[in-house]
Amino acid sequence: MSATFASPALKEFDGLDWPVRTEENWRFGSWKEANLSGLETVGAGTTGELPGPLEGFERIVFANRDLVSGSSASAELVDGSFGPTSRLGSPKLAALHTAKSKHTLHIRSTTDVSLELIYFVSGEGLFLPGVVIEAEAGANIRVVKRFISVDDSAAIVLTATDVRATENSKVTCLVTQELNENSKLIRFADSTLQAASHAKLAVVHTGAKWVREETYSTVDGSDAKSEILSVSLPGTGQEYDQRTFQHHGARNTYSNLLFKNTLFGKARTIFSGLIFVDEGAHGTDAYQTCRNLMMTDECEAHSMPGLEINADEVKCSHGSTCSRVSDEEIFYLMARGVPSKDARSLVARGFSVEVIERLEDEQLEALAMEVIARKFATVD
Amino acid sequence: MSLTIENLHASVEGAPILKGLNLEIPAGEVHAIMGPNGSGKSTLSKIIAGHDDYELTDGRVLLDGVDVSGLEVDERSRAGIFLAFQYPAEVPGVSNANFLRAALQARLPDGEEIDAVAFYKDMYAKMDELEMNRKFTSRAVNEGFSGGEKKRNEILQMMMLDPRYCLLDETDSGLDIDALKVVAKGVNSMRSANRGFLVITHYQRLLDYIKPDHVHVMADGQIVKSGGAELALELEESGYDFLKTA
Repeated sequence: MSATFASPALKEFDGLDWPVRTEENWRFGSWKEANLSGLETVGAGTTGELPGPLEGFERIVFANRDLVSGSSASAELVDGSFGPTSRLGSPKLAALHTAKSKHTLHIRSTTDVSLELIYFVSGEGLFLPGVVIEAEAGANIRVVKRFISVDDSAAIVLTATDVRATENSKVTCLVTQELNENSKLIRFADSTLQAASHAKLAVVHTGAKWVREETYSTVDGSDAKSEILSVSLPGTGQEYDQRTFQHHGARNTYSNLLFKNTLFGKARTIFSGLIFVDEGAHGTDAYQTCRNLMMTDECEAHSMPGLEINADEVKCSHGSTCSRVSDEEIFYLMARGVPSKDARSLVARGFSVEVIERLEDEQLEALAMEVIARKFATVD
Repeated sequence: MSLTIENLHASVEGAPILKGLNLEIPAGEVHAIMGPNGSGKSTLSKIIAGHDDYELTDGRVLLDGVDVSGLEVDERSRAGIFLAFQYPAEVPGVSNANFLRAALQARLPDGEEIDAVAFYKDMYAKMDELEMNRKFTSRAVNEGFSGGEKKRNEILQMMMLDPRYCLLDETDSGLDIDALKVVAKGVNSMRSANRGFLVITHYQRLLDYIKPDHVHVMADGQIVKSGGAELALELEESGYDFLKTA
């Protein structure tokens, strides 16, 4: 019999509990999906067909945990997880990332960088990529992260990103998720913004059977601006569960969250968001909007917007809507000869456009619209 | 060749609005319908276009002899009916160009793709004619447009889709005199021996710019009087009081 020497991270992981039904941060959520006990990390993977290049972007390609091609002077692969934290209900999953992730891609720059990261996912088991984006003063970093399934295996992607925008820097990050519908995605997306920095963090979800995403943005320096954007297009058998926290820790800060979900078939979405303004964070300007477009009578959207203000002279708003496709819009399009199905598709696609346009980056907008179009080609 | 409306009866939420309306619009002619509020003018245009909220209870609509009463809205459009709306819908996120492309694409046989270069060339030429800024191609359909811009956009669509019969539902409402002239110019440029027009309006003013061949007065769901262009002038002069004594 041999002794087992667990790392401190593994010990922490062992000491924590899997999410439970009674936890507020898992309200309406499928907490059982988050129980990953017994799962092993995925082995070596294969690459799929590479998407067309993004002009001006350096490209780094991973097949499961292995880097297969590409490099950048601004990116370094370092051993182990950077140690994400979960403040929105999943410390056990964050600890799992810390204990098991093989490496972190650390992106750091003081200048303009455009980087595309492609993650090909194959085989069954846990895949735990991690990225730190550190924008130093004057930097303008654009990162595209694309998750693409190579096969139909039930992969579990547990991914963490930490954006650190120092004074006078800008980060734009677009994540596109096109995993197969047997897979799960759990994603921690943290950002910390110092004075006069600007972070624009966007995600487009079209794949996976279950997504749990925890986005925590700390706006910590005056004139910092955090934008959080999401487009989700789930269909039957898909559930997307997104929890967000916009944390204003300094005076004169700005955040704006816009999520749009278009639900097809028997899709299910959960959105829970909180704007939290610290004491003394006067002059905060914060907005949070989640809109759901229900394409059928059988889909289900839960929204829980929230606001807690502990400062003065604050402008905040939060809201959520659920609506059906407008009959008036459909009639108008059909009166011009567009068939009913195409009219509904045009309106539904148009619904996401407001989010995509906020990227204010033609290349990224085009990429996001491509991903959306691919999904629309598969739904009725 | 004509758009023929035979003994049309229609109701909205069970309330009868059209009560046996007959009208023939031969290709090459412009017919105007005037009438007091609530006489059923807009209902007539919606019924011809095929709106679901309006129930056809009797009668039929023939397009060049073919009964289109049972067709869906989009099928009627592709068959050649165009309704220029009094209140055009706003469609967020769908650009004018994409919308028009989808409408034209729907008219092509399966497997045939629209020629993008020719499409833009044609659209820009027609926008110039309507004095529309080209930025409207990338703007969402009617979103944030002024009343006049919406009406110009309706006429742009009409010009692009090249319909057989055009129904203009109070196209003059919300237009200043300059916009009215531009819109009328667009409509007049489409007048031809192969195309018919039905112009619904409250005011003679529009008919100064789009000269009708025939004017009809509608009241309580029926055509109650028909005449030439001079009838519109009479109505402008003396209103609809004659209906009360008729």
